[in-house]
Amino acid sequence: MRIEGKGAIDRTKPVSFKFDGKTYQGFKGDTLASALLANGVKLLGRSFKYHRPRGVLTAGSEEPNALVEVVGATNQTPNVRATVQEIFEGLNARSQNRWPSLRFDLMAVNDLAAPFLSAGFYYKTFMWPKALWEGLYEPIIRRAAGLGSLSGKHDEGHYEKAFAFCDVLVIGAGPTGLMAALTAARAGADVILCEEDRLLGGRLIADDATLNGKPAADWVAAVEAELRASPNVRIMPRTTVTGAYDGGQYGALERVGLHKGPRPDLPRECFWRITAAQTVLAAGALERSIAFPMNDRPGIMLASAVQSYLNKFGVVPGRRVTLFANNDGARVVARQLMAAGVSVAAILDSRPEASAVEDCPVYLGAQVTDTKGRHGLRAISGTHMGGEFQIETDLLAVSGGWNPTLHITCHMNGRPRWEASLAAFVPMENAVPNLKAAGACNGAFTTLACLTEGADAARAALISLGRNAVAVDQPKAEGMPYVITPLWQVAGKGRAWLDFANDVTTKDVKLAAQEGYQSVEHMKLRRSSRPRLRRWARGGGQMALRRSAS
Amino acid sequence: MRIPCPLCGSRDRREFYYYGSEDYLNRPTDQGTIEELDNHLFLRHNPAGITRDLWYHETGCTSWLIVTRNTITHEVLGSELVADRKKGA
Amino acid sequence: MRYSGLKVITEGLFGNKGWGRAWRDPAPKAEYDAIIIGGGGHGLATAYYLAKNHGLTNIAVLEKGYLGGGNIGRNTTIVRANYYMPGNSEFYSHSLKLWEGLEAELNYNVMHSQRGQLILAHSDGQRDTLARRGNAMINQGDDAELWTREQVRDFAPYLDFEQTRFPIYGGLMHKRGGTARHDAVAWGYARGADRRGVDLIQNCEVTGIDIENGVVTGVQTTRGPIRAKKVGMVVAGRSSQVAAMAGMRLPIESHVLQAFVTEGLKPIIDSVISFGMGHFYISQSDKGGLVFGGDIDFYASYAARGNLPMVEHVMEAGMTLMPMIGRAKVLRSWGGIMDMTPDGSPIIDKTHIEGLFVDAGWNYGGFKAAPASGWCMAHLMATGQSHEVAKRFRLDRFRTGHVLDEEGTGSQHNLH
Repeated sequence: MRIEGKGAIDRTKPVSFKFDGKTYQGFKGDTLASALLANGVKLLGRSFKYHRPRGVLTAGSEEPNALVEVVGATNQTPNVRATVQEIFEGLNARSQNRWPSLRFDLMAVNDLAAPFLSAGFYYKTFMWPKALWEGLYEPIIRRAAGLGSLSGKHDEGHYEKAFAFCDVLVIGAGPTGLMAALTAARAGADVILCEEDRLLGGRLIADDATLNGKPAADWVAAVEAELRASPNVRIMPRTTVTGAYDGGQYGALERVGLHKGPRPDLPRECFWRITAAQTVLAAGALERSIAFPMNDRPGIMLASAVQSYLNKFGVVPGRRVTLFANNDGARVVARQLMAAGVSVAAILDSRPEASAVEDCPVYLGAQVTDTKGRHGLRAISGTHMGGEFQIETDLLAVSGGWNPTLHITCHMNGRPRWEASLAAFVPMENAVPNLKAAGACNGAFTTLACLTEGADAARAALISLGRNAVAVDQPKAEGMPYVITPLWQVAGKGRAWLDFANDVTTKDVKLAAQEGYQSVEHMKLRRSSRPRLRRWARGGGQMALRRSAS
Repeated sequence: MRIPCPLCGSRDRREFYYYGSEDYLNRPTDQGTIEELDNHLFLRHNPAGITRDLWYHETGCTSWLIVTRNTITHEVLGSELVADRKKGA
Repeated sequence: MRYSGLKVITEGLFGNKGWGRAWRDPAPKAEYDAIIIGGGGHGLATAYYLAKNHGLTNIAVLEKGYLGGGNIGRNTTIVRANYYMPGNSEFYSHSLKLWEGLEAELNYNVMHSQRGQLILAHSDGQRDTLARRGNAMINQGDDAELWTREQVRDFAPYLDFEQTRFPIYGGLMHKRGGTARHDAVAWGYARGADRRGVDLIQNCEVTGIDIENGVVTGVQTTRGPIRAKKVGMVVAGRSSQVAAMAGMRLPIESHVLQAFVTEGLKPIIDSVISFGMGHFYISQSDKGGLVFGGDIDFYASYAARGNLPMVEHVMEAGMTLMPMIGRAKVLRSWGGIMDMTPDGSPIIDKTHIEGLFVDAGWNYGGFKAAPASGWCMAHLMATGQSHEVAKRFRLDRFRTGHVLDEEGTGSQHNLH
């Protein structure tokens, strides 16, 4: 459902595209995910192992569920994040990892067999008779595994690679990155500003934040204009910094033609080797879910994603929204939804001591213990004050807190540090030489702190470069402290997903620990899971396991 | 990775050819024993930490360099020309 | 506890509560008959075969981190027996035979999958060389088929046969080659050794080797001294540092070898494909990821991470060989530390110190060697004699001139 007057899309430019053979219409500036959600499409994919129906979870490159194949005239690209792919006229996408169709997938039989497909079950069986491993068992496993498919045809696409050099590389163009880039640019340093999204501003835009008492978008536009006018600044939107290497080298992948229709004159992508004397990492943070039973249904999204779709795309993918959170952030989302005329059924706050004052029902100390609706959320049930409740709702926005996007600081063997007050890992200092993490990726979770840390990090970089910093006015911003009470797991009968991409549930991790695979690396390998799980297991996961043991 | 060449400045690792430990320069005399030759040609300290090794600036000034590096952190601490060392500098 | 399909089903019905620990977590004892330094694939296999083949069960494996945390978990999982040189041929042939019985031996599904390994030829000369290698493999009792260009095309139509620089002229198919699940090998040996009474001690770093009058007497560790009359150093990746504790210099330089895996894809690459001219090899895991790697980064390193030039080289080689992979996304990469010997062949030998043994120098090829390496190292430690198939893996072969130059590049460190 579209909300009038909201979003950074161009409503004068309709764009038509196809998903699974059906034609839909979106607007210029939409991602495939936002356009499908606006059209009421909730089911976008099937999960990796159990083939469970899945919808959009996030609004960014961290998306584990909404992966699709983009089909071209002569070739296809698998595992494209619908949350990143911008729509263009004639875009043709289709769902993957299902047979015969997305709504009716026979492989979903795996879901019924889940009790037997426990953590590492394959290590314990399929051994007899020997000939059947290669003859029968393995081919079945191989066919069931994988997500999208390659065509087998030569990729005739054109790709580029290039070198770039700068004094200060700024990774991320949210409040932190913009402040850092502005500070470095005004001091005359050569600056490269890389931003994964097509728009600068990061969560300033997605949150519809306020700076200097005005919409933050105004400040973003002014800073962008100044940076674009500076000959010593190169802004690189749609560019993901992929790795940190020795000697201040970074790899970065720019989407040059992927968001446009077929353009033989443009490369699809360009791989940059950027050498930077100093780097400010301003990569932000990623919201995390809560492991409550059946938390993987289409229609259950991260609260920040609901907010992004509202403010960046003018889309609310539901008519009656419920929020479930363990921190204050979700309150703002609820207020913005109500201000946009969306019905909010309730806020379920797991913290008994939080405020109950909102323009909608607030249940303190509440937890979601089950959900209903196979192809799209219909209802949730939970516990509150010792009793049970059920709510009819078609969109559940979840916030389990935030994790700093610190991956780059681990690329040179740096190990993150657990910060209990944030219930999250924060980067180790000096983990990458001449790189400073600032803002949300450094655990600073308010706009005010992001702006300050961004400017400070740039000033520190300038000092290292032997340059004098020039004063930069910092806009007035909110500085409400981030208040969170960790909630890692809700007890209940059903499975609770930790890692949507690999279909890992809390039960899998408990079983791995029970069998002595206690090292986080063991768990990761055993469940073939990704850093999401590593973070869970290193921090809260262990706490949750201890709790359940005691 | 970047290598500082004394003549060309900081350059991308792609410009260089690696020739192994500095041990290679310390050739025994013609009267060396089998053990000394074995030690020279094949046996290595192979340090986990600071090392000194030979690099050839193949697509640059074509100098032979001794680079001081840390094999655990990949930090490059400095470089000198083999030619200077031979002159006793 | 015996693993089986029936057990998986009965446990599944009762909430998977009955699975016990895969191995114990014992405290180190003051003395053992033998100590293995290193709880990787080779160390765990050595312990397993010491217990199983030689009845030595009062032994410990000392691991400074966690079991299987080294190169057994950082590789491209390829298993093959396609060596040319006498000395290597019989060893890898023996190893492949052990792989073929490993599931039954360990009661652990290591997912050894003989989907074949195909080496490509890009010139007539290279095809002749492959024919010669194939004959050597057949003489050793292993399998090899020389394939024409059309046979290769039928098997892997997605390869670029008309590539200007590297047209494909045919290939050598080794049908018993394939892959296995890397960490399962370590865990399977660990569980098997533990069940035979071997103490597997994690988070126990060896800090010194005790030697009296040229005879080993034990080790110093972060968990206290441990006495033993026999000590095996099985620590590829850190061999030079552990050997230095015994005052030794080894013919080894350490280098990083990077590898990569893509996001999950439906099955498309059915075997291991090796593109020697591009230093590139690729297979597809049961999970669907394309697993591939290239050459070492080419400078001494212990960083367990690589740099961009080799990353790009590997990607370019992949695009050259099979341009379809341009549409796949790399999910992650990793770097393992290789013990590089001057001739590219390993070492399983006694040292000049009585009771101290070394198993090292596995270059790029340690994964497939793990079973035979454990088998032969156990034989050496138990009997004091080199095993028949590993008798050329001598520590002093460079000094004596008996090098095993499989790569044909000569025995200089920088040539690897």
